[in-house]
Amino acid sequence: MNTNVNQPVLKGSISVIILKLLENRTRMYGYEITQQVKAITAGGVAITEGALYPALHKLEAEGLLTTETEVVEGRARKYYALTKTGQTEAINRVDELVAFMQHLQTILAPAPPSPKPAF
Amino acid sequence: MLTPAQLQRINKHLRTDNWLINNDLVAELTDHYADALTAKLAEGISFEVALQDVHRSFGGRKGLLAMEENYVHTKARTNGRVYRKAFAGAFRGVRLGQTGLLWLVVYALLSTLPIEQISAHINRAVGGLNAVAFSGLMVALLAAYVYAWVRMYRELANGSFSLHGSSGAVQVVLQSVAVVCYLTVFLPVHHLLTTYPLLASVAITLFCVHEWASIQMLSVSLRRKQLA
Repeated sequence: MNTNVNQPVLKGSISVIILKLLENRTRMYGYEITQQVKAITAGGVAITEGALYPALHKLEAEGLLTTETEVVEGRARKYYALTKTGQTEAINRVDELVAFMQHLQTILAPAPPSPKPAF
Repeated sequence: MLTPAQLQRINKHLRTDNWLINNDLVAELTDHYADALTAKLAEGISFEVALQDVHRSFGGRKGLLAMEENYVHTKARTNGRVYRKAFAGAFRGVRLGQTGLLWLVVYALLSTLPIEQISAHINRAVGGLNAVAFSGLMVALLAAYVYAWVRMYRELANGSFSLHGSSGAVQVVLQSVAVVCYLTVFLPVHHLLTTYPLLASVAITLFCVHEWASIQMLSVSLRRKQLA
């Protein structure tokens, strides 16, 4: 899969990806999220750092994520985790995206041959 | 694992070469750079080439500066959300009972205390004090206030601050006392207190709730959990 082609589509889905990943893990840090996405999609999707961090900070501002800082190898590491509201919102947003993708598939599927006009 | 010199180089890259100034963001990005660079060094890529690769993935200097601007805005929104939640929380559930009790105590004090006489007494006392004694009183009040603030700030900075601890409550009480004293001494608020005790008690209660919400906002903003 060409990741460059994916970027505009990916941009609107980053927050859902983050919420979904955090739904399955207790907490994650920025670099870990990028690597996890790469690993799950076998390198097919790469989240750029320039898009990831603004999305993380926005979700934190919305109260969907909470953070805690831990010192690892002598430097501060910021972990993100879902808040209670974030857990509910993760389920809602994933459902919304899945429903949207189903509609998109219907639109993009090859159209059945239209009946010939009678005249 | 990177050497201290390499970590120093990342710090210089972010702060000096790319003009980032927000300490929290720089700390977060330093960790990301360090992880990404460690992975690239393991692939045999030289440090400087790897650094430029990671830099590009952030959108270069333009991307980093835009990220910092965005970070400052979202941080302000986070602080605002925490403040609003804390303020509104004072009027919900168990907190509503505590806020109601506070208002009741303030209202009872305002309704029963001879405010006019106390105010006149304070004004006479202040007027009767010589300049040295008055200055000493003000310095003592200021010192107590600064001490309480430093104590709370240290707890906030090292992550030991608790909303159930004494330092936050002491800070709220001292600030409230300072404001009430200031208004009592320098403004004719005793007329307001005696004429409209209900309104004045609501105002004082709201002030205390505001102080408490501000401290909670500060607590979240400066929280540092040293779990390692």
